[in-house]
Amino acid sequence: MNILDEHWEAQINALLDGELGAEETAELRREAEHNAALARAIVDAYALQSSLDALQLERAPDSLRARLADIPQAEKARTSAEPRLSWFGMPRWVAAGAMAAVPLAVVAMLMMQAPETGPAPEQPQFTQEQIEQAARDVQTAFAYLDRIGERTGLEIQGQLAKELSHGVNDNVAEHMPFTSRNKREENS
Amino acid sequence: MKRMILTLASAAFLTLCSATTWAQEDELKAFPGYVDFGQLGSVFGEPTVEISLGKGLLNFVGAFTADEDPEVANLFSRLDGVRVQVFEGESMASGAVDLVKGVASNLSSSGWESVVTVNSQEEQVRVFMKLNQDVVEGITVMALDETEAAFINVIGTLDPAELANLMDHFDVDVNGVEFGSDAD
Repeated sequence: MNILDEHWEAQINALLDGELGAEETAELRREAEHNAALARAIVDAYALQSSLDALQLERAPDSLRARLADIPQAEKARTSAEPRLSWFGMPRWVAAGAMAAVPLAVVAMLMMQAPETGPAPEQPQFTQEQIEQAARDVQTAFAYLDRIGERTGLEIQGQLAKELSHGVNDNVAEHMPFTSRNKREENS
Repeated sequence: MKRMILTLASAAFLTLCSATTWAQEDELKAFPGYVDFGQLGSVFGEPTVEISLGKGLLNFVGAFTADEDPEVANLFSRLDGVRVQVFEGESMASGAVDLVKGVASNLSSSGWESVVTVNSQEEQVRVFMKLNQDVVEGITVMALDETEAAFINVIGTLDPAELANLMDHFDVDVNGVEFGSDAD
């Protein structure tokens, strides 16, 4: 169809909407019998409508529905001063194609939201090499702690375990026998 | 050309490691047991040992020891981070003692308990613990001698009574030979 066939596009829209009278329907049929492009357009329009009818729409979560419901007002406020495109005036199957994106978007959003209600997010993955290196690092760290304890003759860990296991609630330093015993100088 | 590629690859690797360490440090800063040691590099230069482990890796390490030592694994699950920086040199770095005293002062004023102080010409040791009721939220050790400076920060909710077990578990000779848990 070309620009001269706008009349037929309007007729197809009306046909799909059930608004085309019997006489006009017969005229459209007669035209389509010798106009292959028009016949093709009618078939495509019906196919698209059938596809839309076959789509099983799932109810979106309430939170999403609420956000979608708020969109018109927000959009109105945002673009009240801007010229807006209208759905009216475009062929129905073009509008239908655009509208088909809505349920698909909802389905896509539902799929994107699915992990939130599914299993907990996976833990970060580490390689065996990283874990072995971390184990060596931890050993090194505690070995340094141990060595510092030994070097200063304090046996920090043993004293801490012994003293604090009694349930110290006030100043811990007062309960550390090695604190005063081993404080060699106070030169500071 | 091959040498240049190797050099660039090494530089890239070191940069990546450094970036990872910094990212790890940022995560650990949120914990009450974290200690800001300040600009250690400006006093001591490059560290010979630098370790910064976060909760994720520590949990994995704990999980791997769960079969042989469930108590240690349980303790690991409550560790949020382990940080170590060790610097070596011919002599004690200028400004090292002042740095340690400055950090110690900051810790004391921010609620850390000083549990060990060694204050001599040859050696400076400070051990601090961050306590919340009876629970330790962090342990910090700073140790200086003529040739070595070690800064250690263990972050997590620790029962002090468990520390001895953990220390025994890692009976390791740091001077070079043995590195392995339960080494005899």
